[in-house]
Amino acid sequence: MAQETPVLSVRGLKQYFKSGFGKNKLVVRAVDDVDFDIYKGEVFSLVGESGCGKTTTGRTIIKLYDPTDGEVFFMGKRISAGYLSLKQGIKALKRKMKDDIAEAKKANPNDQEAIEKIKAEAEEKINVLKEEIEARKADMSNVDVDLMKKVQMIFQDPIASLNPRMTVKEIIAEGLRIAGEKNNDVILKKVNGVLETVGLLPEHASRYPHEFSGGQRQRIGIARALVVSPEFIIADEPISALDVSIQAQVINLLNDLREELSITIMFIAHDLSVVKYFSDRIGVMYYGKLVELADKDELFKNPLHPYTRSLLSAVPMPDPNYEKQRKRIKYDPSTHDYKTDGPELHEIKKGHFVYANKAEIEQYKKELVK
Amino acid sequence: MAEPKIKVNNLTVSFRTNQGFVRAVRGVDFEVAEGETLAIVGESGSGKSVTSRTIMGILAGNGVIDDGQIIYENQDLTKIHEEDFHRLRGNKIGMIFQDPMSSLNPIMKIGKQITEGMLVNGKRLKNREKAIIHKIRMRYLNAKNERRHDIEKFKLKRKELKAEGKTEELAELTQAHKEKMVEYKERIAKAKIELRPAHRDAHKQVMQEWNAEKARVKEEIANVKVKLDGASPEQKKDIKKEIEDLKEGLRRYKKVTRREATERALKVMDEVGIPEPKKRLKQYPFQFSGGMRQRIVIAIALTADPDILICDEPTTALDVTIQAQILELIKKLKEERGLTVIFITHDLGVVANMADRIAVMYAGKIVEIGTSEEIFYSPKHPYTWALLSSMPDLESKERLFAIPGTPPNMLFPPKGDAFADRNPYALKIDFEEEPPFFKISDTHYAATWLQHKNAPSFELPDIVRGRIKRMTEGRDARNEVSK
Repeated sequence: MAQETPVLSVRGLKQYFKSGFGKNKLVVRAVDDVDFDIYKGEVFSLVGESGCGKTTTGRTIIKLYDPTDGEVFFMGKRISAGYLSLKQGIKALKRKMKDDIAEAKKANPNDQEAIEKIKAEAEEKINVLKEEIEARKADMSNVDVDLMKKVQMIFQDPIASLNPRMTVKEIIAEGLRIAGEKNNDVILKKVNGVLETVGLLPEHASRYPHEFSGGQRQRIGIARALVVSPEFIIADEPISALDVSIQAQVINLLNDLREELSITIMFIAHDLSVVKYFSDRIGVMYYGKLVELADKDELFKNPLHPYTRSLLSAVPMPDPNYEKQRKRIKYDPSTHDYKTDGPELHEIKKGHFVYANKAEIEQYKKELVK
Repeated sequence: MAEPKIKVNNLTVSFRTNQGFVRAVRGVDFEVAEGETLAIVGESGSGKSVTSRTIMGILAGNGVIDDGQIIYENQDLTKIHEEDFHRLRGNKIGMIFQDPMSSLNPIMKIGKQITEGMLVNGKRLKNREKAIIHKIRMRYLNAKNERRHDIEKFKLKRKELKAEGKTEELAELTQAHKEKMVEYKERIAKAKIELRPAHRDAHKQVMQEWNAEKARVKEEIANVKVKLDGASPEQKKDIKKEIEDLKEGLRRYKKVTRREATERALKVMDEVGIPEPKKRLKQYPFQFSGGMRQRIVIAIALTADPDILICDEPTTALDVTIQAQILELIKKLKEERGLTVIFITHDLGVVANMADRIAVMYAGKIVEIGTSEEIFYSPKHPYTWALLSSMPDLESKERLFAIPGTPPNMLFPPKGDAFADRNPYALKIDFEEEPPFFKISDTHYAATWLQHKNAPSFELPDIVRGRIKRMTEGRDARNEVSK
C-alpha cells in the first residue's frame, strides 16, 4: 500500500450540536477532536456503538454538516473547516490583553507607550487569527465542484435514501446533471455503464426503486455514487439494513470495485466481523473520540484501549463451543484517571495509535512487549 | 426427550392477496421441550416470523391457517376460540418484538406501559365470574364459531359448483346446508338458554363472596380502630398504616390496584437490569437508549409470568455491545424462570450463543433441524452451507459466498426443492420432487436429496470446510487448556 500523501486527512475535527436556550442549553459533542489520515487505495473503517459519532464524522467530511472546528483536507486541498477554536483563541487573547494593560497601568499609570505596545502586539496576533477564520469561511463557501465530485457517499438505508418518485436512471443521473453534464446520450451511456458495473441490467434504468429487492436497491445507491467516477467513497453502514445473504453480495461488490477502480473507501459499521474482513485499517470511536486506530490485524491481536477490548469481546461468532466460553468484558469509563494528566492520541507502535495519558501509555507499552 | 412444551404439526399458513394466495408457511413441524431454546433461522421472507405470529395468534387479518396444529397444554391453538386464546396470550406465551422504538408508545410514560396490561387484565371479580361460567360460555361461542365457518365453507363450495354448472349437486348441497343450519340454530338457542341463568348464578356467587370479604375486612378494621383510643402518637401512626393496608388488601381482592401493579413493575424492571426503576417509571421511551428500550419491552412481556417466550429478532436493531447485553439478559431470565424460548433471527452468530437446537427455514419450510453443534459443525443442507459461508467471521479472508438470485415468489411456490434454483449443488431430482427429511442422527434432520443413498458424492464448500476445521481446532485447543 502506498503510504505517501494521504487522500483524506482530518485534523482536530469537532462537530457540536446545540439545542435549547438559557438554562436548558445543551451542547452535544458528537465528534470531539478527531484526527486521522486515509491513504490511497485502502479501506479505512470507523467502528463503535450507536451514538458514538461515526456517522456524524462521515457526514461532516462530506459537508452535510458544517464542522464546528477542525479541518478536512482532500487531496491536499482544504474542503471543509470550522473555526470555533480560533474564535476562542481571539477571546483568550483579548482577555489577556486587558489583564496585561491593567497590570501595566498598575505599575506605571502614565506609561502610555507600554500600553500601546501591548495593544499593538495583541492586535497583530488577533488579526492573524481573523484572517485564518476568513480563509476558512471562504473555503467553506467556494466549493470546488470538480474536487468535491470525487468524494461520494453510500447511505445506510436503501429504502429511505432513494426517491420513490424517480426512476433509477433519474436517480443515478442526478449527480451528473448537477455536475454540469447536459448531453443526454452521454448521461445514458454512463448510467448504463455504471449499472453494469454494480451488476444490474440496462433495462432496470426505467424502473422505480420499489420494484427492486433490498440488495438491488443498495446497488442502485452504489451506482449513484460511482457514476461521477469518485476516488473516495464514504460508505455509511451500507449493509446494516440488509439480509445476511444480501450482505455478502454488497460486500463482494464493494471489494471488486475497490480492486477494479482503485477507489479509497471509508467504511462506517458496527459489525466487527465484516469490518475485519473488509478493511485495512480500523479506527474505534467512543463518545466522539477516536480511542484507538491501527492496522486490522494489529488491532485484533493487540487491542490496548479497554473499550476496544470490550467491543471485541462482544462480537458474536457462529461457533457454539466458542460462544459458551466467551466472556464479555465490560467497559467502565470511570477507570481512567484523567484529572491531572490529560489523554491524547499517542502512536504507541508504528501505525498503532491509542487515546491515553502518559501513565496508561507506559502500562500499554509493557503489555505490548509481553 | 422430555414431553414437549409446545408442538407444531404440519403448520400451513397463507395470506390472501389480490394476486392470489401467498404460501408463507408450507408445512412446518417442530417441538420445543420445557426449558429449551429453539432458534429459527432464515432469510427475510422465509416464514419464520409468520410461524411465531401464528403461535401467538396474532396473524394479520388476511392470514389463513390452512392446515396443521399447534399443541400447547393439550389444546390446539389453531382451533380454540379467541376467548380461550385471551387466557394464553401474554399470560402463558409472551413475545418480544424486533424494533423497541416502534413497539413502545412514544407518548405514554414507561410506567403506564408496563402496568397497563396488568391493570386491564386485573379485574379479579369479573375474571372469577368468567372463569366459573367459562365452559358453558365456550359451548355457546364455539357453536356460533362453527356455524360461521360452515357458512363460509358452504359459500365457497356453492361458487365452485355454480361455476362448473352442476345444478343437481348444488341443490343437494343447499338442502344439506339448510338442515345443518336448523341444527345449529337449535344448538345455539339451547346454549344461550343455559348461559343466562349460569351467568346470573355466577354473578350472585361472586358478589356473595365479595360481600363476605368486605364484611370480614370491615370487622377487622373496626377491631383495629378500637386500639386507637389512648394510644401514643407513634402507635397511632402504626395503627393507621395497618388500617390502610387492610383497605388496600380489600381493594386488591376486587382488582389489581395501581399500587400493586407498580410494585410488580418495579420488581420486573429490577430483574431486567434497569437501574433506578422508580425514576425510570416516570420517563418516556425517547429518554431511553436502544438497549434500555429493549429491556422495557422484555419487562412488559415478563409481567404476566409467561412459560414460553417468543423473541422475534430482538437484537437486530441493536449494535454489538448492546446485543451482547440483551442476549445475556434473555439467557439469564431463561435460567432463572425456566422459560422455554423460541428465538427468531437471521444472524447465525447470535444463534450460536443462545440456542440448544436450531431450525433453518427457507421458503416456508424447515430445511434442516438439529442441535446447535450439529448445525454448526456438520451442516448437511446446501442452504445452511450458503448461510454459513455468506457471513465473514474474524478469520475469513476468502471471497464471501453470495447466494445467487432471490427467494422464490411464494405466490407460485416452485415445484420440487424451493432452493434448487439458487443451489450450485442442485441435482436433477431437486427440480422435480420435493426432498423429504433424511435422518442423520436422532436429533438431526435435513431435507435434501444429497442425503439420499443414491445421491452422487459431493464436497462441502471450501469456506464451510475451512471454518469447521478452524472451529473444531479451536474447540480442541480450548479443551486442552481447560484440562
